[in-house]
Amino acid sequence: MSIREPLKALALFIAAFILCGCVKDTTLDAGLERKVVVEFVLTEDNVQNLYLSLTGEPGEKVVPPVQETEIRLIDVTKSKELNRDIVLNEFVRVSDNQWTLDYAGIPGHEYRLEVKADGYDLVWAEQIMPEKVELARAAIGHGVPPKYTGYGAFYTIDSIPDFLIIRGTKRNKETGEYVMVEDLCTDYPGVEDINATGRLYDGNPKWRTGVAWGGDSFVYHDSPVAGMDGVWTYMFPNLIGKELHDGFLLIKRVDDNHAGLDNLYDFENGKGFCISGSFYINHAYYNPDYTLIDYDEYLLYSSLSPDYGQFLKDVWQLKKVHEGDDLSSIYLRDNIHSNIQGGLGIFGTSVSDRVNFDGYNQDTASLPKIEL
Amino acid sequence: MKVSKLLSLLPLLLPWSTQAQEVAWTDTLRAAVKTDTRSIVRSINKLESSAVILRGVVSPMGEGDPVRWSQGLPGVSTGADGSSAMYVHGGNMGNNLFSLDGVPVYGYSHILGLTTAIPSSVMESTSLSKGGFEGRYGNFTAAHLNIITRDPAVNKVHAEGTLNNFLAGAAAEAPVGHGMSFMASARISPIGPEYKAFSQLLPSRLAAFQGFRAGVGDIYGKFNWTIDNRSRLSASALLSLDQYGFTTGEGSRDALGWNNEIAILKYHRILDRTEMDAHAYVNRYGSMQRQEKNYHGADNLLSLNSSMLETAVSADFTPRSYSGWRFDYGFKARYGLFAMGPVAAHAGKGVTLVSSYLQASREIPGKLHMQAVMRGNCYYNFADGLTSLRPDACLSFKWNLTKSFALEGSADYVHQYYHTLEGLPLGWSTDVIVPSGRTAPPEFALQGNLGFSLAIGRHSASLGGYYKRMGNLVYYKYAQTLFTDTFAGWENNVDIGSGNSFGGEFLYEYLGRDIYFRTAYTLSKTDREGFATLFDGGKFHARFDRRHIFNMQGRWKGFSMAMTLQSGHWENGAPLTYQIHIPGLETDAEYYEGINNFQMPAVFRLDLGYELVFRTGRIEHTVNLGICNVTNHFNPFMLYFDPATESWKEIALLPIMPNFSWRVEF
Repeated sequence: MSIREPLKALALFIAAFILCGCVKDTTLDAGLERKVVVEFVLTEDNVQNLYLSLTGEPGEKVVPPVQETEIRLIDVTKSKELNRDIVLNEFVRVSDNQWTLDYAGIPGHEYRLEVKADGYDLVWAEQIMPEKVELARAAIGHGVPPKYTGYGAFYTIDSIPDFLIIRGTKRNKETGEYVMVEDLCTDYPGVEDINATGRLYDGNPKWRTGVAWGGDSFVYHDSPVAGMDGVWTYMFPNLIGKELHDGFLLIKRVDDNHAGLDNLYDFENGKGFCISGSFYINHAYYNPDYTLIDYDEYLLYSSLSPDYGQFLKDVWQLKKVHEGDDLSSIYLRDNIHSNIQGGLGIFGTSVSDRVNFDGYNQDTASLPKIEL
Repeated sequence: MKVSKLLSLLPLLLPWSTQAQEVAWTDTLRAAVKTDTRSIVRSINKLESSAVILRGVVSPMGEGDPVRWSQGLPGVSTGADGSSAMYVHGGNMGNNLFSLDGVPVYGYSHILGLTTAIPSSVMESTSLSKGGFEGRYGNFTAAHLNIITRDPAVNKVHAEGTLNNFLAGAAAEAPVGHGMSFMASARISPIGPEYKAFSQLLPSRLAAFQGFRAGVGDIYGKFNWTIDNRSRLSASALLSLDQYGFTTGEGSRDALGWNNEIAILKYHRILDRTEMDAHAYVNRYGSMQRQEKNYHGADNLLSLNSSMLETAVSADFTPRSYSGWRFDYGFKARYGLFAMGPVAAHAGKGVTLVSSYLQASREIPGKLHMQAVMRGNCYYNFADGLTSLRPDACLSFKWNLTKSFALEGSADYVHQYYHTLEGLPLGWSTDVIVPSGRTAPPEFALQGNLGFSLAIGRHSASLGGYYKRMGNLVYYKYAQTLFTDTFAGWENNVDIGSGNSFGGEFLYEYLGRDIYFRTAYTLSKTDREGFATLFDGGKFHARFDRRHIFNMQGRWKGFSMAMTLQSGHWENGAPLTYQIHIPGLETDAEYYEGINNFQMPAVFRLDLGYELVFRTGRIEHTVNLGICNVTNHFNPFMLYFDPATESWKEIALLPIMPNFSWRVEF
C-alpha cells in the first residue's frame, strides 16, 4: 500500500478534528417532594402571625400557595392541667400565605402547633415559652484611675436564657422616629460573633482629666468611637478593643457561670456586663435639677426558645451570604435549623422586654410600645 | 422501562454458552490479538495485559492505555466520561495505587484524563489487582494498577514516532556499550494550536468555551546497566505536565493543571539464596485549579492547590529456588510532605511510613495456588504526633476443581495512610491528597471476593461477588473554606465516616478465528455513612456508585468496537427553596435533603475503529482510524457554575469525534 492513502486520511482527520466541549444547562433537580413550610413565633403580643407556604422546586419562579388547611395551637401545659386538649383561638387567613391568631403567649407554658395542609401530611412542633428574664441597669460610680470603671452602661441579668438577643433603639434626631441602633458592643464573654463587623470599639484612647457633674475631677479617654456620633470611650473604657456587632447582640447560654461572666463585675443584684453602641447618649434630657424627664434610648431584649435562637442564627448567616459577593458561597449546603416535624420552618417562642440604655431603671411596662 | 432495569437483564441475554467438548481450532489472528487473550490471567483478583494489547483498546486517543483497558474490566466504575478516573469495588479514586515499576504515580491522568502520563512505547505489561494483594505494595485499599516498563534493547537501535489527535511523540532506544543501554520518550500535545485552528473554522461551536489554551507534555527516560551477570542497575525519570485554561464567558476564566516529577533508581542483585530488588525514588505531584469569576459585581478568585513530595527506599527479596512453600519478604520506608490550600507550599513537618512484609505462597501445579501476606505498618505524623502501628493481611487462592473450572477467592484487611479528599465542591476536580493525622486516622478496608472461573474451548468466563467495608474515609465538609483556609486548618474541616460496597461481576470472552469479543458487567451498590456532621450521619451514595456497568469490546480482523453503558453517577442535587418572613431577616432559604442525591444521566458511548498495518521499506506503520461516540450521546465530563446566569452547566468532553493514531517504527 502506498503511504499516500493513510496520509490523506490523516490530513482529513486533522482537518475534521473537533475539540469542543459541548455545554448545556442543568438544573440538578433531585426530584425532591415539596414540603410544607411553617413559620410561627409565639410572643406575648396580643396578635400572632403565622406564615404557611410550600417549598419551591429547582428553577420554579412562582410557588403555588397552600389550599385548604387546618391549623391548631394547643396549650399543652393547660391541657395537662385540665386533662383535655386546650385548642386556642382560630387562625384567620389574611393572605395567600399569612394567618393571624388573637392570642398572647404565656411564659413558661408549653405549646404544640399542628398544621394539616390539603394534600400533605400533618406537620407539627412543640415549644416551651421561655420565662421572663430581667436585664437591669446597674448603678456604678465611675471612680478615678486606676480604679476607673467608666461611666458606661452596666447591666445585670438574673439568669441567662438559652438564647438572648439584645438590640438597641434610639430616636432619629430629625424625624423623632425610633430607629435601630446600628452597632452594638459588649464585654459579655459568650456573645456570638456571627454578626461581628470586624471593627473594634475605639482603638487609640488617650487619658484626659475632666470635670464630672458635681465638680469632681476625673481622668477619662478622649477618643470618640470611630464612626459613632457622640459616643466617647471615656464612658466605656471596658469595651475598648471589643468587637462591634451589626444590629444585635446574640448571647447563647453556655453554662451556669455565664461563659466566664463571673470574672467581670460584681454588683449587688448579680454579675454585670457592659453594653454600648451607636446610641446618641447626649440625647438624655434632664431638668435643671438633673431629674430625668425623657429618655428615648433603649435596649430591647428577648429571651428565645432554643430552636428559635438557632433558627435566627442560621437565617442571619444565610442572609449575609446571599447578600455578599463571595463566589465560594455557592458551595454552601447548610440547612437552616427547623423543628417542624415532617416539614420545614420554625415554631419559636420569644419573651421580650426593654430597659433604658443609659439611665435609671424605669418601669418600662408603662412606656408606649416601640414600633420599629 | 428504565435503562437501569434493561441493564439488569443484559447478563441473561449474553451469548454465553458453556460447551462441554474441547474445540479444535487454528489460530489465524495476528500476534497482537493472540497476546491479548492469552496474556489475561483468568483470575477474579488479577488481570494482566501486554503493552501491545493496551494500544489496541479503542479510545478517543486512537490507541488505548492501561486505564482505558482497566475501565472495561468488571468491578471497575469509571469517573466522568472521558476521564481516567476509576473506582474499584466502591473505593475512592485515591484508594487505588497506580504505579510505575512499583513507584506511585499520583497524577497519572493526561490530556484532561483521556490517557495516562506514561507513554505506551515504554510499557512492557500492565496488571490490575483487585484483591489478594502482593506484599511489596502497600498504602492503598482498593486496587493496584501496576505498569512495568521495558528495559532498553541492548543489541539494536530502535526508534518510533507517534501522532494522534492529542499527542505527538517520539521515542528511541539504543545500546551504549559495556552492558549499558538507554531509552527516551517525549510527547507533546498539539491541542492548543488545534483548538485555534478549529475555532477559526467554526467559531459558533465554541461560543460557550473560549480562549482554550493548553500546555501538555511528558518526558520519560530510562538507563539500564547490566553490571555483571549478577547485578543490574537502572535509573529512570518521568516528567509530565498538564495545564489548561479557558473562559466560559466575560470575566469568567478557569484554569487547572497537574504535574508529576519522578526519579527512580533500581538495583537488582542475585545473591546466594535470594534475589534482591532495591528501589529508591523521589516523587513530586502537584495540582492546581483556579477560577476567576465576577459574582454579584465583585471579582472573585478561587484557587485550590495541592502538592506532595515523597521519597522512599525499599528492598524486596525472593528465593532463587524453593520447594513447597515459597517465602518472599522485604521492607519499604517513605517520607512525605504535603501541602494544600489556596496556595500550596511544603512547610512544616511531614510523615513517615515504614512497612515490612512476609509473603508465603504455595503452588500445586494444576491444582491449587494460594498466597498469604502479612505486612506491618509503622506510621508517624511529625506534625501532630500521631503514631500508628497497624497490620495488613491479604489472602488469595485459586482451586482448580476440574481442568476448566476453578474456585477463586481473596480476603484483604489493608490500611492507607494518604487520603484523597472526598467532598470537594461541585465542579472542582483537583485531587487533594492529605496525610493521616489525629483528626483523619488511617483508612482501612476489609474485603472479600469469591467466585468461579470457567474456560472451555474458545469461551472463558468468570462470575464472582464481593463485599467491602471501608473505614476512616475522609469527607471535606466545608467546601467554602477550601478557598480561604490554609493547609494548617484542613483537619478542622473534615469529617470521618465509613463506606460499604457489595456487588457481583461477570466477565466473558470469546476468541474465535477472526473474532475477539469481551463483555463485562458489574452490578454493585456503594454508599457512605457515619459522617457525623453530614445530615446526621445518614447514608448517601458514593459519588460514582454506578449500579450497572456494562462494557463490551469486539474485534474482527482490523475492525474494532467498544461500547459502554453505565448508570449515571451522583452529584449534589439542587435544593428546594422557601421564604423566611422574620422582620428584618426576610430572605430566600434553601433546603438540601442530602449529599450526592442527584443522579446524572446514564453514560453511553460507542466507539468504532480500524487498524491498518503496512510497511514502507524498513518502516512499519500502524494507523488507527476511528470515531469516538458514534451516537453523539451527551455524557457530561464536568459541571461548572456560570455566575452570569447563576446556574450550573454541564460540559461534555467527547462529542462525536473522529480520531486517529499513527505509529511508525524502525
